[in-house]
Amino acid sequence: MLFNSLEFAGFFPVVCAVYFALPHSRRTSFLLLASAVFYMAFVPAYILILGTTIAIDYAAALRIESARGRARTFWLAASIAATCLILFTFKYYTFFTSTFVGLATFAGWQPSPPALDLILPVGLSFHTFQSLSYVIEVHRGRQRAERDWHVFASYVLFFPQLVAGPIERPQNLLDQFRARREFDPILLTSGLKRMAWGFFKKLVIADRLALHVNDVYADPAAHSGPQLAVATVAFAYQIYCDFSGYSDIAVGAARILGFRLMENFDAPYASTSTGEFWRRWHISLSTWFRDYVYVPLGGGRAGPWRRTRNLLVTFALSGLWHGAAWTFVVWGLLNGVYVAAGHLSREWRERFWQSAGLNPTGTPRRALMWATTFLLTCLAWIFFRAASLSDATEILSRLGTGWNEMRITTENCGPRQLAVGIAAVVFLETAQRLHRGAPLTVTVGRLPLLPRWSAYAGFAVLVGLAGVHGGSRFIYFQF
Amino acid sequence: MAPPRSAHKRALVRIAQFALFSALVAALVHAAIQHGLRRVNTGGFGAINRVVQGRAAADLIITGSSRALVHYDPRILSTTTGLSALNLGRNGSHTGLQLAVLRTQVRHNPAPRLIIHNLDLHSLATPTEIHDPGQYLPYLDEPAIYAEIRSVHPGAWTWRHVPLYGHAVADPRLHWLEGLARLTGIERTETLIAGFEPRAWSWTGEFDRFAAKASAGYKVARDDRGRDQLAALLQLCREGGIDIILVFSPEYAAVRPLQLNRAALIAEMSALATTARVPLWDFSDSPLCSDRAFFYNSQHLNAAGAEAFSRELAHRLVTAGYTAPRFTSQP
Repeated sequence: MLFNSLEFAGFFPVVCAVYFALPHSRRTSFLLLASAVFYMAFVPAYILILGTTIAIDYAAALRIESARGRARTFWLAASIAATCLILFTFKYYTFFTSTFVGLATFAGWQPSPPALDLILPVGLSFHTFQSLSYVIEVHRGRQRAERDWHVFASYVLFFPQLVAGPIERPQNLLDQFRARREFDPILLTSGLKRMAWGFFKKLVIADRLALHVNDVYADPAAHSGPQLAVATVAFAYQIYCDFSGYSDIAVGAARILGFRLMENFDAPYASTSTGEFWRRWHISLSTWFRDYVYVPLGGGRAGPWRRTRNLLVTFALSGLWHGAAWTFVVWGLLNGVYVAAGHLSREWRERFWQSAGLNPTGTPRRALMWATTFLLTCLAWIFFRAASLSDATEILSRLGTGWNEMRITTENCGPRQLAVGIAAVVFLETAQRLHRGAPLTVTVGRLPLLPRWSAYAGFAVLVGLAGVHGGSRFIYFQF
Repeated sequence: MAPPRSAHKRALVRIAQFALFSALVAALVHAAIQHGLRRVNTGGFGAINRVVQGRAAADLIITGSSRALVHYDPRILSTTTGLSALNLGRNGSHTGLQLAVLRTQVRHNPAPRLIIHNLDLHSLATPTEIHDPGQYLPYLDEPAIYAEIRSVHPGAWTWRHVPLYGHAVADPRLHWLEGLARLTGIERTETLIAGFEPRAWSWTGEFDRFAAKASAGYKVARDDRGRDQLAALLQLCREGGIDIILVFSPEYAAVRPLQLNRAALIAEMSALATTARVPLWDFSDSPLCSDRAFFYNSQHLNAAGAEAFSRELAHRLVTAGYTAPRFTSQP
């Protein structure tokens, strides 16, 4: 069930009403049922896969907690292996076998591994990682193993964040299923506002810009440099608004039910370094990889070259997490190179800035750093969005062509649609900048009733009219 | 501490009040958009507005899809034949919708004496969706247009009766902006000449890329409903005493080998024309068809091609006797 669907518009109010009408003791079970219904709206049979993951990690955590010495590590390894096997089978089997066949053919051998032809379950990587974080935290002794399977299953299945995160840690979410909570009008209005903001990002910005991006990236050879450049920047905002829009809706929906989810984004395109970008982008995944991959590998503790290696491994895995294709691996590695180069060149860059007479807090230096970061991020997005590595290189090679014509619109995204998309991005960035001082909703909330309601209703009408309502999926669902 | 129950009740009442307020705002904005769109004087909205306001009378009416829109220059046809001419071609429209627009024209205006209905290989097909339905949203109170749109989109009643819903879900091209702009007195520059849209474009290469991908050819869909709608269009003319000529305007010749069922489709259209005793003028053998300079893609003539074709057609009309004063809308 998509957030941007009529089904969800009916489902969510009913779930909220029943949830608060039920006695506290029944609420977790009801949320579990509602989450299962939500998930089964995609492909019903795949609830069995999720059920298997839940059963494995529920049992493994109890074993880990009761075991001593090497047995604890054994149960952790067994749990990780079993959970990852499911992920591998559904997400990576075809990728690895086709890569293997490609290499083998190159070496003169022609193997034919069986094809599985499986459909990737929606959000598999998200709930796999959430479940893994639970067993790892139990192994580290930072989380007690959950005895109540209703609570644990609800933690993995919680419908607002089930298919695209945020990837919650058990310390934040698990105990919230036990807390006694009542219907709170303040949380309701605050949650609705957050959801409306998410819908604005998804429907007005992401899906509108997608019209341009899809035209151009479907056939890069047929488009000029200006179109490719605009589509690449548009994709940067499409993916940000698609994913952070989902997170906003998830956070808002959970808030109405009385749950507090972690923030997943913090105005990432305001970053002035790629390192900062990764502290602001998909925070729940970045911190997951930091805590469970980068730090265990040694992090930055063993010198610059080990840190470089660890960064490249972490980012390559992060790329692979996003998708079973070499384009994602290259995207991850490229970001790893950016962050590693940022560390290695720190002293050199500082000398450069000093020789240029630009002080660290001055606007010119920050503007240059911001522009460089945004440009590098956009270049990496080309690999993320392109259908293949050859398409990505085609786009890079064509970026400099056709600037004498300056045609930027496409067949499905004319001047009017592109203008609305750009205006919405400007509105978003302005609102995010204002948010640092006083949140827009706080400013509007101080207005008298009529202008306040007019502002809210006007915003809802704007989202309705300027949005694209084709029921398009969220990009991160595929991961 | 949990809020008291009275606070819950107050909150729910507030939410209900806000929902009503939002519905009122939506209804007002909807009315404003519709009002603006129905007063647009230029472009596609201007063309249909003239039809529904009874300002689209002409001796010769051209109907069809985008090929009609960009191929037939009413100025040339008018100058050569002496008949007043108007182009009602609609971008991306199928035969059923072309028929609906024609019915609307006849409903609000004096019937033309002659209709030139442009054919293409899709003339016998019913689509699964309306192309750019947003362009018809202000006209859902027109019975013919509404009936045809509902036959393709049964849920289109919501577009008509739920404020803003149609503009939100069926107008991805944001035509509603044009309506709001009209309210402030802003209108885009007119690009149509008596409904005709000359496109001074050079060859886009779109067909070459398509041909490379579809070198094995393709079949164009047809269905009985599409055929019946073309027959209904012929019947409407017969019943209204309107002469009609079916015209298959030029296509770029290189596309023909790829159209695997082209001969069968044209034969079916010819059979319909023969049954209805209506002439079908096929311009597939026109010298224009083999000259890429006259096209911007395989289906559409550019401005130069449209001018050349309109002259060729006008002379054929004169030769066939379709000239004033025999053909005139004046009583």
